[in-house]
Amino acid sequence: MRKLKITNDHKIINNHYPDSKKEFSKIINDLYKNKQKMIILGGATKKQYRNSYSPVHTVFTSELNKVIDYNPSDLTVTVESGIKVESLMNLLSENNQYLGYILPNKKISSIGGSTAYGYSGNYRFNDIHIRDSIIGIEAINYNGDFMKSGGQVVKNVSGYDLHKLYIGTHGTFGPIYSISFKVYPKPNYEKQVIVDFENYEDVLKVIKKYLPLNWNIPRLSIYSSNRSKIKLYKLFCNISGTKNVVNYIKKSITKDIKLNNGKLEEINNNINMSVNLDDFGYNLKDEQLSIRILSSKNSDFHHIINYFKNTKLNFQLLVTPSIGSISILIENNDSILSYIDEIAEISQLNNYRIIIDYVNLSLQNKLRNKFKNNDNQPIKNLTALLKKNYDPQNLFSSGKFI
Amino acid sequence: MDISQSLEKKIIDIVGKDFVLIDKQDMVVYESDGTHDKGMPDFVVLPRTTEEVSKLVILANEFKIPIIARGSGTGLSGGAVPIHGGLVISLNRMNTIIDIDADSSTATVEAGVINLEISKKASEYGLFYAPDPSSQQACSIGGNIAENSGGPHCLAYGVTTNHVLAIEVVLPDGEITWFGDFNKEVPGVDFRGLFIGSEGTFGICTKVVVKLLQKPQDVKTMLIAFSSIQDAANATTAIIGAGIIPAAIEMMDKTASDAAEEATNAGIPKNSDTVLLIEIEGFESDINDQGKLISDVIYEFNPIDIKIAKNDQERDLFWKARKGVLGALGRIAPNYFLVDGTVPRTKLSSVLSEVSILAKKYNLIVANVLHAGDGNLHPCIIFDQQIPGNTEKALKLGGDILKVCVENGGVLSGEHGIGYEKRDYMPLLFSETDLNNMKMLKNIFDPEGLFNPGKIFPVE
Repeated sequence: MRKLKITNDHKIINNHYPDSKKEFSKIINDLYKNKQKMIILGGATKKQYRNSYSPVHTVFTSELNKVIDYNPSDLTVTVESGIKVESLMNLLSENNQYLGYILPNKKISSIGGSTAYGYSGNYRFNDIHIRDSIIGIEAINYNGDFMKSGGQVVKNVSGYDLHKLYIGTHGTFGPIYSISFKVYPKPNYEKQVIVDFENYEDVLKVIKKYLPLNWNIPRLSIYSSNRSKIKLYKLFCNISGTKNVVNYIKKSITKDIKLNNGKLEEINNNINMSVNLDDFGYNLKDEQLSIRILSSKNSDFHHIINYFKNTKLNFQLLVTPSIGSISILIENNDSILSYIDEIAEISQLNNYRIIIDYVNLSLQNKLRNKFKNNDNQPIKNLTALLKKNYDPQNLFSSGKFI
Repeated sequence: MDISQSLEKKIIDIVGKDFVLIDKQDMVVYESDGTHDKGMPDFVVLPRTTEEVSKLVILANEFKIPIIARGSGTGLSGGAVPIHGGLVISLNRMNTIIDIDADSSTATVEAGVINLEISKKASEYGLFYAPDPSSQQACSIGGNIAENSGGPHCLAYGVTTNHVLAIEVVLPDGEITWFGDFNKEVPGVDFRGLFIGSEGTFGICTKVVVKLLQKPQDVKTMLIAFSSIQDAANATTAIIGAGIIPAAIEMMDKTASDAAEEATNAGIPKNSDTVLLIEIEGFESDINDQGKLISDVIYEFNPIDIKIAKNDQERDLFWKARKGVLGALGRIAPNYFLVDGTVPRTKLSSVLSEVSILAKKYNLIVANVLHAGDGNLHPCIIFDQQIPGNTEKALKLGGDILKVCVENGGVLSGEHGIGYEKRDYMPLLFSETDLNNMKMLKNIFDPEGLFNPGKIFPVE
């Protein structure tokens, strides 16, 4: 076992790097028995998880990176949680398969960390979310015992879907050892259309018709920023499927663009993008803040767009109506808190939900109570009960999720 | 006034006497579902609103009696059978389609709404609800939530959990809440996902928000006959392996397809051993490309006949043969026991061979009906329960088939749920730790253990 003792200003007591299933379980069991708080880290891409308020042990899953089972004809794959997203994508790609979505920061992020974070990026074949594609998980409970839920088949209603507990809950119910995914054949053809619009309303008119086609249009996102001299709304549309279908949809979109004052910038076979859409909101500088606002599917977010149009903040935003989300990158400045108050107010009024994807430590404390998502009392009670039962000593990701 | 009378009066106060059943002869229909399992309820209540459901749950808590939610009673795992008696809450009167929002492609419906009715209503907007259990003309969306139901077209579209955004739930303490949101990205614990497939043991679903999909521009349905079940199974694996995901790949062996043909005259060749029903959907040009690819793959496996539905009528007839096959098997023997294992697709051929060996060993007829594309087997054991020992023999054979599924990397249920019928097989698949963790979850939702007791977990 490789151990790296660093008692530094991040208050990390010890770093652990288990390299086998058995060792992983032993570490968790030992730490829990000794009432040690711990954070499980994959690629450690979320700075806010590394920086803890109280002393913690960090357990890195980076050495647990094996493919446990993969038979391409079954369209399922089971991997250890520490495997890098890119490694899994490459493996699938060799067999002309993919997850159906592109997880952000794929070079660094682990599949376990991405699962714990529960965000599936803005490219989604058939509207798929990581919650849909995970068919089984093997987790470790506080005794260090392995606990299986789901399986390695695509259709399964045997017992409770306990694996749902581990997706998007930031490790608060314990570590994940392995994950099974349902995978898909890659479409044999894909094109990207990039179109510039002067008016947001014109973009909305075009995309409305194409939103239901998520089987063939895995990405339909609108980018805007006040960094450029001319304020533009840039529509990124990925079309995938057979060559005939891609050309059919492309022709239809091109016609609609002309009718709605759009300027076709590029039709790209290689999917080279002028904006890094896959990693939007990731790899940020310390002075940047990244938030995600969620509403219902097909939401146009015009309240938020209008607000940013008139603000003096430096921002970039990416609206993805097909999944009801808008990601916003804001350059931190002295008066950011007053803007944040206004964004929170708009969100409250429109029943939007807000997730802070990235924030530096100094701002983190100030933002803690700004965005309150209105979970109802029964949900709060059930969440607290789950935590109490699955982590009675409150040692897993303490203070991070609840 | 004894306890029973006092409870009866309070129930009537909540829903009115017209919607309470207490005579055994009236409740006979509620003592079973689509299985052989039976249990007589103490009361059957038909509430109209979520608030009435909530009051009934609070009342049941007060009297400490079991609560069993019931949809249309089409379940195939004994999930809605009141094996310990108690209060059956039948949701059939909560059958309103509240809203179809074409802009956001969602439907908000009450739990008692029949699955097919959602698609019928949505079709006015060019939309449909994808999960289509074979019983979709009768089963309710609430029951689909409880069992996380599938159906033939789930191969491409996914099962119930992939199409439900939010659920209104009456929790075991009577509190009403919503799990999920109109957005799939809801932060926090995915209570929606945990609840779906929990077989009525976490509470009662009263309203549902489902996703609707745009109806495909074109559909092609192919009926392909093979001279052996292995060829059909291997063709299925090869189609998926070639990167094609049709909307559905269904399989019927000789026993099943002969019975289906006799009942429907769908045009299944008499000399076939096994048939595949393959459906592809999408844009017209896509359909032709996919159809050609599938034909190319299939020719490697010696098909003896390929029929392509010429029109909607013929397509409906093919599907009538497939979806009505269980009824058609009644021509062979009066009773059947339907198994519901799932295996990795690549194991289909070998598992089907083992099923055949087991059928011979038990001297029982097994008709194999499969959602082959998903690896979901439905070996249907046909027997006459009037012959002494036959029921026990059929159940034992069913258990042995499930063991084969698990030994081959599969699971106990693909879409029917564990219920009462398969609860004792759970240790085949799950360790004591796994089961204890599930019990912990059950206890968090339902500490009194009143919701659908005796289901999922093996008897200790």
